[in-house]
Amino acid sequence: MKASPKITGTQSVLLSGAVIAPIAAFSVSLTQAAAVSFAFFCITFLTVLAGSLIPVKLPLSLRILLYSVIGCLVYIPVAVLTVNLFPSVSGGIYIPLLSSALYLTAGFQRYFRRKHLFRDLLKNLLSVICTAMLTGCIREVLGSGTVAGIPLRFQPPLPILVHPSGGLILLVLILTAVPYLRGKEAAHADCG
Amino acid sequence: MQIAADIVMILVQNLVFQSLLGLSPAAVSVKNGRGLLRLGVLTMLCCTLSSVLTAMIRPAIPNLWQKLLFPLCNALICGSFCIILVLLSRKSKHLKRFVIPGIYYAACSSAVLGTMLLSTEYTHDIPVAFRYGFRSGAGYLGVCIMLKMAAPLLYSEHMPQAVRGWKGLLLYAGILSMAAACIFS
Repeated sequence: MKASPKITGTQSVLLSGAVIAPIAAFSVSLTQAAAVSFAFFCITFLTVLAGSLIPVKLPLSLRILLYSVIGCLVYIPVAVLTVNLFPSVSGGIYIPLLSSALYLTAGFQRYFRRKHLFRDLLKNLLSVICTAMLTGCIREVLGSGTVAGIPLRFQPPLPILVHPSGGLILLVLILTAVPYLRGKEAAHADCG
Repeated sequence: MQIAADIVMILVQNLVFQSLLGLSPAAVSVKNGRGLLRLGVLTMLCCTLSSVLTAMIRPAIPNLWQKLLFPLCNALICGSFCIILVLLSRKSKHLKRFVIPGIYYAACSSAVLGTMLLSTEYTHDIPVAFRYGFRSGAGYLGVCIMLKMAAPLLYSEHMPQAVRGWKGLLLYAGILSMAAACIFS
């Protein structure tokens, strides 16, 4: 079955703004990108699945509040797990931010068709993870001159990429380039 | 003197430029750059209120649990503020037109800014928390004004189609952030 153009044409979760700051500011290396991706995947996946049980009849403001409460409750075990899995990474404020950003969950829920919630959600989250890992990898190689902490034998040509502003510009460039690589149709869908 | 110091801090410690916090709601909540001012004002209100309430709640939370429970407290405060404003806006048409389109995004950016606030040491005293919350909110409003000024061009046909709209807005914010880092570091 052909997926909805909204799903294939855009990275809905990323576009809904939930993870721009954690990717652009925090993912300066492959390890940090992996940590943020893991936390984001767990928090969002569990919250959206649990949130799908909330009746649509409830007022939007109440639904959003419930979503964010679920997100913040899910955040507690995920934060502990992330610290244990990535002991070298200090999540700072960006891991808690992932749960706060779930205020937008109700906003991006419209991208998921109820029938294919699991598939759509997985597809969107994987696209976010790929973007985060790609951003982290490029920033580490070109910004710090290392790969997974191993130093390379050249001076990093773009040290600005280590800064949040450099990360943001790189992220926007990736988000612009990917739809064009996928085809013009997807690119037009994104620009709209 | 204190006010002058606060104004300088709004520029120097701007969370949007420093850590890109709250930038995503600003980029995605607006169509053609409209509503940025409303988002800034609502965020400033919500952020100031949530910082004061957090300072009041903080002593009741055990130290060990504070980092884990802060996002939950913040979400509850911002969510309740959101519901109260929605209920109030039902009584006035003007208020409804102002509040409803931007309130959810404002709650999101306030929650994001609030999480940052909670992770600092500024929330032990209520007056200090009020000042810090207000400064964060005012800084956010300042960024919204800057983005609003550039929005007509960023959404116009003069921009290449690939980066027209919210992508252009994010690029512009990235350049502003870079400039702020150069000036204030």
